Amino acid sequence: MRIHVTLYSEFKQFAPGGTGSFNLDLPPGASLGHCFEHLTIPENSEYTALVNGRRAGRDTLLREADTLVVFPLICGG
Amino acid sequence: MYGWMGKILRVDLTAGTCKEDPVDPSVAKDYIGGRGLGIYLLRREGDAKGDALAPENPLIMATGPLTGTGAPTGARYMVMTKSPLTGAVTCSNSGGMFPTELKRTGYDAIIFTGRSDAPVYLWIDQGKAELRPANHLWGKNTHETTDMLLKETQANARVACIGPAGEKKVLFASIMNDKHRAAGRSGVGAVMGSKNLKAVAVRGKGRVPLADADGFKAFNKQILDVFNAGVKQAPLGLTVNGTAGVVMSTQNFGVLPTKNWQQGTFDGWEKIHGEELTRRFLKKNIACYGCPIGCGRMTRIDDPRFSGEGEGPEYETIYAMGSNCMIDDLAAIVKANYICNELGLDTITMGATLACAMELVDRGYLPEERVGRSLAWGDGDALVELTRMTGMREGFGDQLAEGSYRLAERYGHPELAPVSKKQEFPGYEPRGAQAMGLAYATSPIGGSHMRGDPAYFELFSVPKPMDPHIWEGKAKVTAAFQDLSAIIDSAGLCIFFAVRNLAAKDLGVAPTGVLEYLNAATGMDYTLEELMLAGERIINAERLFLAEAGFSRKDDSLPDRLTQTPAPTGPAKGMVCHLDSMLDDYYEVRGWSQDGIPEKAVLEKLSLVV
Repeated sequence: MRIHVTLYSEFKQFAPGGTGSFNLDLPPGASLGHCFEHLTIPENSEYTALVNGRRAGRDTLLREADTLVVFPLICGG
Repeated sequence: MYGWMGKILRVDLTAGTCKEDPVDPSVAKDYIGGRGLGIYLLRREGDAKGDALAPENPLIMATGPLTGTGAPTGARYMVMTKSPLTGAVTCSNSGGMFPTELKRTGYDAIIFTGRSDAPVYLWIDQGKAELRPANHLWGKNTHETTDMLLKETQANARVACIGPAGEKKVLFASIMNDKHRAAGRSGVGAVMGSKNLKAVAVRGKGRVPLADADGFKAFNKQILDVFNAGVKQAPLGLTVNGTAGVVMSTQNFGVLPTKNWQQGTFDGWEKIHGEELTRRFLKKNIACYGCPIGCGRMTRIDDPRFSGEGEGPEYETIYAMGSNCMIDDLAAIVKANYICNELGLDTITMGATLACAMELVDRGYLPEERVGRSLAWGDGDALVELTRMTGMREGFGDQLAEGSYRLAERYGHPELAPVSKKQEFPGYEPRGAQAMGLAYATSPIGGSHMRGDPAYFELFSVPKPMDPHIWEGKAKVTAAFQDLSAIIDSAGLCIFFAVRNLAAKDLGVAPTGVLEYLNAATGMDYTLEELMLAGERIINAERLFLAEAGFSRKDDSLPDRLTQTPAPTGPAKGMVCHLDSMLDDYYEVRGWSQDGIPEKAVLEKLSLVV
């Protein structure tokens, strides 16, 4: 299956080809955790991940054509 | 007393006198200090039904028992009064260096009453207070005023003052301290201006006495060790990009208010994001007294159109003047921020009022001839020019100076004002962050994120995430965060540090770390339950002030735009804010009637008298 990924800030370094926004092919049934492993994003990273605009965790299952956005934990306002 | 200097300065501006009152230790314990002390004094001495700009309305500046102690972010003071913008209570909070210096003069708080015949300023030098003529300062901006006062008092004094906006009673005029820090909201600067009080300059060398200095030091080390270890692993976003980094979060959650709150996503967001601010404008970080975060931004504009140097902008300014006005010209936003700081204006209400004016023009309700210039979405030059005109009440700026509600009402469409209790919202769209809507509606000061901030658990995952789209179960957590904010504001700490580092890591957010600090500082032996009750007492005391002023459920409201019109874009597309359902739950959690009035049982529990 193919998903669309956008990585921001320091997570951009894990983007293949160095561009923060890209399509990614993953095996069917892959979770966000699998996706992170594939991108070599360290397990202890502090992040906010949104799948189709909703907060997701490592166990969240991904589906064809999902949009994944990852950015650092941000606080304040 | 410990943690307290033990004295309140009472300044009668009509009589031109300064007197001292002792702090009542039982009031100090029941109300913690700062915001709590402020509402206690305001209820005792103010008239909830009175005119906010009348001499009788007390203007209270109150530090907390942890202000100036060296507790991380113990740098805050609170300005309490009845607001001319909302008619409700307001408590406007600021940090920097002034609050600590004020406390070191020997006074925990100052109460100003009356009105001086001619402009004056208050000078406190090591516990000696005097009113001095300020005719020569009247008309000067906040930077000029501060520089002049440092020359004629002492170079190392600290100054809080109003600019022309406060003098001209702009309904959202701020009180600026240390030039760049703002007690920004609800028109506290207009109240100060109405009293002909231009400034407060302070110099103090006193130390805050601590009940258990060794215990305080040991706990401080423990807290800072944990904090520093975390920072070593990953730098705090607040340190790197300031609050402006929040743009990335709100945009991606679809809650970045855009086009006067018509939608929650802005195509130009990357041009106004914190990383862009850092890259193009940041000169250095600025930290308030005792703060290990340093979220303040000292910036400079190198742009052929504008020039200037100053502090900011914060996230809230960027939303209000940026996405909300469809402006992606960050230089114009930075410049307008500087103008607000120099003239003494609240940036949130300024930006939100301008966005409201843009929509009035866009829909044909406000002719551009009345504005005196073009006013289209996205016009950064209009932002800069009209911000200056508002601070000076020049031309159309005189209408903007009344805030968005009165502006929209004047042109027949109050529903276009993004307000609760006539105060403009901060930058989180409640259709995609449900509890924010409840927090805005029930905040005692009207639209605000600082009197209990659900963005922490809805967007920032602090201490744990809650789905921002769900309204069920939000009332209890929102109330807990409101109580926590009352405790933090009263103690003299900053929300940015204390919520993450000094509260329990569950959604009950018990103030466990604040408790340790307060007991070491004051020796008052608070139990956790007593401290949490004190937070609830402060919220209820504020609510009683509102009830006495005629506020009830009808005023705990949001514009129909947010509760009736589905969000048109982004992850929250199709959603509305379920305010009414959350309010039902909230009043039950609070022990208030379904009309929003505190009931006998909760008042008895908190020893509050109507």
